[in-house]
Amino acid sequence: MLFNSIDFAIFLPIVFAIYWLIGNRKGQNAFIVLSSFVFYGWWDWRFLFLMVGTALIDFWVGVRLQNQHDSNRRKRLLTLSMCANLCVLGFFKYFNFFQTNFVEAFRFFGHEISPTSLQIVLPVGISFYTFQAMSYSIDVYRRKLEATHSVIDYLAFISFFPQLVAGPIERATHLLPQFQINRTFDYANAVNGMRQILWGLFKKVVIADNCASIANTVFENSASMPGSTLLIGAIFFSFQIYGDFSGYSDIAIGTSRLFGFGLMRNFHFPYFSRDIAEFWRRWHISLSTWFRDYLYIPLGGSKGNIWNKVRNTFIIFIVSGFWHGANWTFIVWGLLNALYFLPLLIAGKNRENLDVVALNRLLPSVKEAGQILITFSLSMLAWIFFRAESLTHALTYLNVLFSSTLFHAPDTTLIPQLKTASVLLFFFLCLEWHGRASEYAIEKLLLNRHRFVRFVFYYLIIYCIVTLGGDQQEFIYFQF
Amino acid sequence: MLSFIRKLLFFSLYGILSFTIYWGIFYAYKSQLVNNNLIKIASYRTLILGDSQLQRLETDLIGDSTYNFASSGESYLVTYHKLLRLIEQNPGKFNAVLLGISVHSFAPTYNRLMNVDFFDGQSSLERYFYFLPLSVSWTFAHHEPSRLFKSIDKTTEWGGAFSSFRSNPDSSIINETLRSHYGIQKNEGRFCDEQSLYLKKIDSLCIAKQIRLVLVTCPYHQDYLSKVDSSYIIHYQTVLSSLRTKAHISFLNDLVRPEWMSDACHLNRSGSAFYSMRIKQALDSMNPTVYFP
Repeated sequence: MLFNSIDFAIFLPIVFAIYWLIGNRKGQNAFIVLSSFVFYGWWDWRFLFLMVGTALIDFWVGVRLQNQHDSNRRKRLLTLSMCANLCVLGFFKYFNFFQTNFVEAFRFFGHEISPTSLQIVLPVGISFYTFQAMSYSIDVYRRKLEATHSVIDYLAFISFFPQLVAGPIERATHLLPQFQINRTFDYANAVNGMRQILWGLFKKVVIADNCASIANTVFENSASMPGSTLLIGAIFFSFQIYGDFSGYSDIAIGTSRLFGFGLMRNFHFPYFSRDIAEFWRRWHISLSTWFRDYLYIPLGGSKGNIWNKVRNTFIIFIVSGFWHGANWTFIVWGLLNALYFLPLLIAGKNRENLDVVALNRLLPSVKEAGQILITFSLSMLAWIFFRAESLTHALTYLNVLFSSTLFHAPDTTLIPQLKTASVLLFFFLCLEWHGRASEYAIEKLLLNRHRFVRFVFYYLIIYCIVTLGGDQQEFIYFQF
Repeated sequence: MLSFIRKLLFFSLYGILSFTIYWGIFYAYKSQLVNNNLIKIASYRTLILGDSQLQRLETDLIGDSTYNFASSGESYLVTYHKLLRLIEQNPGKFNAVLLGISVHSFAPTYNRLMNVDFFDGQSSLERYFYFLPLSVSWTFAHHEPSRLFKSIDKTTEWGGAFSSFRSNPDSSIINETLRSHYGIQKNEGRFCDEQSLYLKKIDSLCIAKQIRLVLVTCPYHQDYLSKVDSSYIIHYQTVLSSLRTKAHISFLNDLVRPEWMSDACHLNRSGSAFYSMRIKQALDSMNPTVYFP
């Protein structure tokens, strides 16, 4: 079920009404599980068994870990949980990748082997709920969290429908306790949630989907386009992926607010970052911090000599790339970001820009504007690998992008929607810039104005969603 | 929570009311503009209708009181409603309709023109929105109602005479046209049955309103026609024979000089001048009883 579909527009009010009518915590949790199963089963009900199966293993492991004091047995239990999750993830997400690469490697050495042909369908959101489940087992193992003895609470935590298929990837220490306390309806929080849903829909339907039609056309016809048009394609893809994913996160967080839950922030205006380290503190925060807590720090983190730091940095960026998909393009994307990050790490400048850019000022300074532009350009170049069909495609794209045709007039015959999308993007960026100190751009916008002004503004956003939305596209991160 | 629901309902109601009024006024205003333009067409006696093939005809060479109302990528569903609208607003004003028909008129490409899941269908709805009754637009887009709202402020496609000066199309252009006409996407049918259905409706409408319907088949580039699957030619002939109107001017099998074609299926200025004259001659020599059964 897509957030930007009629199905969800019907589903959400029904679930909301029944949820608050139920009134007691246990009933509400059970209802969340039921609703989440309906939400997830809307795509393919068969994968529900997979999710529930791994969740039950993790639940059982959690209970055993809680009561077990023998460190070797505890390690074995944790290993069981990790293996169950990673095997499922590995099989569904990476089987074809490894198989193809093995066949290619054998072919390179002159041996022809015929691969087994398996049509593996990737279950929606598998990378998200698997990582969430692993965080639970690890935190219980580390005794940071007490294991839950309620299977309903655990299933509700794993399958919570607002963030089930594309995050934010919640930590058990943050979300699970919220299922264990009584929730009361908070009017201000619910209104805030509605506002965030509205903004998320705007980002997805108006910004991302309009940018998508341009980016898709350019990337699909890149062989016959000049560098200047490819630059437009790369810029619009950068905003497509931002609007798409952060829009989804906003809808997820806003929806959770309606049910009395608080989810972690996933984006913090990343395109206003002044260096790549700041960008990574603001982009897909739930995944970055997951890797930080469960991979980077256990590897030694920033401790030790410079080579350890460099090694650890490369590991998390490459693993992060691989998490996104079983394709060399994602691995190169991760590698490229690690290379961007490296000079800051070596110079010890990776934690310089921690505040909000140009706080209490209307515009950034020239220096800040230059830094923002450079950071955006670097991330945009990396996105080319992320979007390309293959490494060859990405390299060809870059080759043309940096040719003399970059200075030719762009060929816009195939992208007639460019003007409209550019105008929308401009207004979007103005609003984002204005609201960069808030959790999301319109969180505090016009709050001190008369209700009529606010309503007109919200109606304007709704009007844009209804009439200016691009062709409906599936959320990019569903494939991960 | 009740306060939240109440305020949310008020917000929704105000919104629905505001948008309904806004769109209602906008729709009424644009409909009126379209009606005013349609009334102007009532000064003509003969209409040229159909898709881009008929758009290329030189109207002046065919007759003094002839108006070219054909439009690129127009399906018979749209043609039917355009004609119906014109007749209802200007009863008894039109004597004859020259309607384009050809082999590709029943090709799968027309399935996409009637399906908003495809870009062609979305564009078709937006371009002809004000020619179609709302009920028809709804059938078009009921599973994606936002398409209707998006169409309200779009510019109506009027079509009309269009000349091209290009000539001698190469094989890549011809192959691309073949692919776009006959390529089948997303399990759609081999033939567009809706086209046959609305063609018959146009046929019946003209008979009922005593308007002379003359079918016109423009020539194709020889290379194009030679590559068209024969089943489409048979289908085209079958549909033709099922119509009550027998007045048909066909140049399908003409061996047209490539320098007269602007692409695979459109005449350029020179070709159009020649064939417009031939249509005029054919109409003059036509027994009135043939084209008005």
